[in-house]
Amino acid sequence: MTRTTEIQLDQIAETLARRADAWEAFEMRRRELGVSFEAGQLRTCSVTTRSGVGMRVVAGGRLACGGTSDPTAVGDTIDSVIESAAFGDRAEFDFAPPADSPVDGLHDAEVAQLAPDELVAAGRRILDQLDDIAAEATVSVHLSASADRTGFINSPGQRFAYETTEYSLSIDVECFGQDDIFRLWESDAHCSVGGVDADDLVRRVRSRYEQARNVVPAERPKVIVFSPHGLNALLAGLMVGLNGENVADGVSPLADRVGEQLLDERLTVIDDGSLPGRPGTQPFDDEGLPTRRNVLIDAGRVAGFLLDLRTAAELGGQSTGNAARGLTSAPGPAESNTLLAPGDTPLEAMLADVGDGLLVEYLMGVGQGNLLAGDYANSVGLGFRIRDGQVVGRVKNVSIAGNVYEDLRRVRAVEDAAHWFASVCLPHVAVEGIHVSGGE
Amino acid sequence: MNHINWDQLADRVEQAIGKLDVRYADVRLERTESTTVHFAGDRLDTAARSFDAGGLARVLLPGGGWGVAGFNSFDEIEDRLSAARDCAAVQAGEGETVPLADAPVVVDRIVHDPGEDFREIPLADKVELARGYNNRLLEVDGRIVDTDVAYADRYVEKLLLTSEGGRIFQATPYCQVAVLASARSGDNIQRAFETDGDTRRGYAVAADIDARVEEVARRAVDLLDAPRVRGGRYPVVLDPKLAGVFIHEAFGHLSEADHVCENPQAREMMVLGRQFAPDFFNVFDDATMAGQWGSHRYDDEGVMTRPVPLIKNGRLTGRLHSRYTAARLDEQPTGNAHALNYQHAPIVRMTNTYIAPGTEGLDDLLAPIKEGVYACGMFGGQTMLENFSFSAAHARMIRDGKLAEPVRDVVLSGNLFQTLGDVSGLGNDLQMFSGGCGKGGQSPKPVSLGSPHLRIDNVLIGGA
Repeated sequence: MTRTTEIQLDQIAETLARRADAWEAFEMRRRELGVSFEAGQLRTCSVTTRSGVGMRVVAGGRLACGGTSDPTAVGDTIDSVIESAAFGDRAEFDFAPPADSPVDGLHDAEVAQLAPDELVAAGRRILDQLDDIAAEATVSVHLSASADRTGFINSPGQRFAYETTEYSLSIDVECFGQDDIFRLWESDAHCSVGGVDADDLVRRVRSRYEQARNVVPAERPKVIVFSPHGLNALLAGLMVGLNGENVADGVSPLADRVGEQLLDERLTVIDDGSLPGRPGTQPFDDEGLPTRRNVLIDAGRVAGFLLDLRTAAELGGQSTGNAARGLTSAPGPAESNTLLAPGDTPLEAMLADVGDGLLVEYLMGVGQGNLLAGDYANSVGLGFRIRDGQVVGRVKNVSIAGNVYEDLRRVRAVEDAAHWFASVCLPHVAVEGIHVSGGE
Repeated sequence: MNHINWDQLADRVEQAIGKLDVRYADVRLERTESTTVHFAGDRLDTAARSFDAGGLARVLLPGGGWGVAGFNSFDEIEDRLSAARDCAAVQAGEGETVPLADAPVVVDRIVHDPGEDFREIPLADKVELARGYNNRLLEVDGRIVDTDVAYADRYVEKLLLTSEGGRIFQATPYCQVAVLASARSGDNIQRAFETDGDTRRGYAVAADIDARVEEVARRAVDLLDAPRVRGGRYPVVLDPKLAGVFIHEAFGHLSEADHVCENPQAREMMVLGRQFAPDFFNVFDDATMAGQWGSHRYDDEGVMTRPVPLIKNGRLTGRLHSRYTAARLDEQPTGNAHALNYQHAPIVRMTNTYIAPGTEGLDDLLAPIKEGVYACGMFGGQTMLENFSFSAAHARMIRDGKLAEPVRDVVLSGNLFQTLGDVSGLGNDLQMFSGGCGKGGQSPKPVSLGSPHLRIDNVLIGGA
C-alpha cells in the first residue's frame, strides 16, 4: 500500500495555502532492514517502515510547526499548527526560494534492494574473521540497509524529492577478564555497500583488542594522542561554540571572534553536507536550501558558524544550509559531515616523536558538563599507554580535563591522513599539556 | 484523527496472530498525543500538539532468533506480522532457538489516573505557564543571558497482544518540565538546570516548581564565581540525586542481564552472592513504585513487574531480565523488558533504581572528612561497565567536616571493583528523581533514580 509523496504533500500544501501566509511541508518515508548477531548468534532480523509529515507556517505573521506519523491525524495536525501560530514568535526571515542542488551520489540501488540473507551472510563473514576473539569475548555485529525518500514543498515555490540509502556496520566487543572489563567498537556507514570497508573495520577491532589485552600503569603523560574517535569527543565543546543557535543566543564564546586566530594553525574544521556517499549528506537541508561545504575553522581562525534561516537572519548573514529538524520540532542548525583536514605527520612518526604518552580512544560523559566555555573533564573510556613510541597496553581509571580552546593551541602534531567513521572524518592529533588524573 | 476502538483492534490482532504458525509472536500498538512548549531565551521555539502512532510485530520460529517488523499505519498490521514471520524464517533452522522463560499469561486493562488531566488544559495555558517560568529565570540576574524552558506532556496508549493469549492495554500520562539557565561573564559561561516529571500528578507536576526555577538561575550565576575543582582522589559525599546517578551507572546497567547472559566469563564475574559493597548497602529496581517516572505495571512482553533486589547486604542478589535473559540464566523474569516506543523491540532496561536509606544525617556523613567534595545534582553519567563516570551539577569542597567554598566541573569516575566497596556512609533521606536513560539506541527511556546522601571514600575527580 503506498501513497506517493507528491499527492500527500500537494494536499497538505493546498490546505496550508488557504490558511497561512507562508508555509513549508515535508514528508519522509524510510524502509530499514537490519540484522543483529549477539555473541556470534543471529538474534534478530528486522524490517521497519516509517513515515510521517511535518510542516511549518507563518500565520498572522507568527511561526508555528508540527508534524505527525499517524496517517489519520494529518488534518488535526494542520489545525493544531495553525492554532499554535497565535502564540508563535514573529517571523523575521523568509522560507527558502526555489533552487536546484548539484549534490548526488546518495542512493545506491544495491543497498535499496538488499535482502535479509545477504546482510546475514555479510555478518557471518565478519564473525568468521573474528572467531578467535569470540572465543574469549562477546562479539556482536549489527548491519543495516535503509532507503529513505524525502519530499519538500514550500510557499515560495521550492519543491524537490530525493532518495538516499545507507548501509551501516558496527562491531562490538565486550571482554570480561579477571576483575577486568573492557569494551571496544568500530562502525561505519555509507550510501553504498562498497563504501564500508568491513575488512578494515575488522582489522582495527583486532588491533585494538590485541593492544587492550595488556593492562599497564598510565603514569603522568605530558602528551596525549587523540585517535579519530577520541578527537571527536574532544571537539564536542568546539562544535557547541560553532553552532549558530548558541551564537545567536549569546552563549558561545566565539560570537565576537570571527577572523581571530583561536586555535593552532594546523587545524581546519569543515562541515560539508554535499559530499557524495556520506551519511550526513543531503542535497538540500531540512529547510530546503542546497547544502554545501562550510569552513568553520580555517587554519585555526574562526571562519564561520553552522546556521539555519532563523539564526542567519538574527546574525545578519546567510544560512549555511545546516538546518535539521524532526517531524514535530522547529528546525535548528546541526552538523552534517564533520571533517578536520589532515596535517603532515605520519602516525608512526607522531608516536615516535611523542615517546611517552597516552592514546585516548574513547572518552566517557561527553557533553555531560558545562561545555559552553569549552571546559571539559572526562573519564577515559578506553585509553592506551605509549612508551618509546609504541602502544604497549591499556590504562585504567584515568581522567583528563582541560579547556578545548586552550588545549587546541598546544597541538604537537596532526596526522597526515584522516579517517572516516560514518559522517565524521578525523586524523589522530597529539596535544600537549592536558591535565591527567588517576591511572594508578 | 481516527478514534480507535482498542477492543476491536485487539480482536483483529489476535485473529491475525492466530493464523500464523509460529513458536511465539507478539504485536505492540501505540498511539501518543503530545504537547510540547519550548522557550529559548526571549523566543518561543515550539508550541505544538502532535500525534504519533505505530506498531511492532515480533515472531520466533524454531531454530532461530527474532523476526521483527515495525510500521506506522494500523492498516498494515496483518501485512507486517507476515513480514516479521518472513524475517524470522531467514534464520529459522540455522542456529539455536531463542529460549523464553515461562511467564503467566495476562489479560488486563490499566488506565492510569491522569491526575490533573493535561489533555483538558488549553495550549494557551501551557504556553503561559512556560512563559512565566522563562521570564522568572531572565529576571533573576542580569548575567542570565539565555534560558531553556520546556514543558512536555504525552498521553501514551499501548496495546500488547501475544500468541500465548496475553492481552494488555495500558494508558499512561507523562508530564514533565525542564528549566535551564545560562549565565555569562566574559568568556565564562555556566549553566544550571532542573527537571521534574511523573506519571501520577498530571499537569500539577508542571505547575509546582516556582521555587526551583529561581534556584536554577541562582545556581547558574553562582557557578560563574566557582573555581574548577583540582583533580585528584577525594572522599566525597553525594547528594541524593547524584547518588542516584552513581548507582544507575555503577551497578544498574551491569544488572541488566543481557550484558552478562551471553558471556561465560561475565557470568563467573557476576556470580550471585559476590560481595561488591559493605553489608549495610542495599539496591533495588522497582517499577511498582506509585507514579514514578519509570513505573509500569507490565513490561513490554506482558510480564508483571515487581521490586527486584539487586544488592542485598552488599552482595549481588538479583538481575534485571527479559524472558530471554531469564531463560538463558535459568532465573525468573522480572518485568524489565522495555521498548522506548513502538519503533523498537524491548530490551532489558532499568525502571526506578535506588539505594535504600540508612540512618545517618548529612552532618554525620561530612564529619570525618578533612578535605573532600560535596557533589550535588546531575549533568549526567555514563558507564562502560567496569568504569563509569557521573557529573555533578554543582559542588562544594568539604573542609574539616564542614561545607566550604563552591567548586565547579566536578566529574567523578568510578570503578566497579573498587568504588562500591568504598561506600562508607549512608544517609537517612531517600529521594527519587526523574531522568532519561540511553541504551542500544533507545534514548531517553523514562527512568527514576534515587538514594539518600552517600559518602564514598577515595573517588577520582577529574579536574584541571
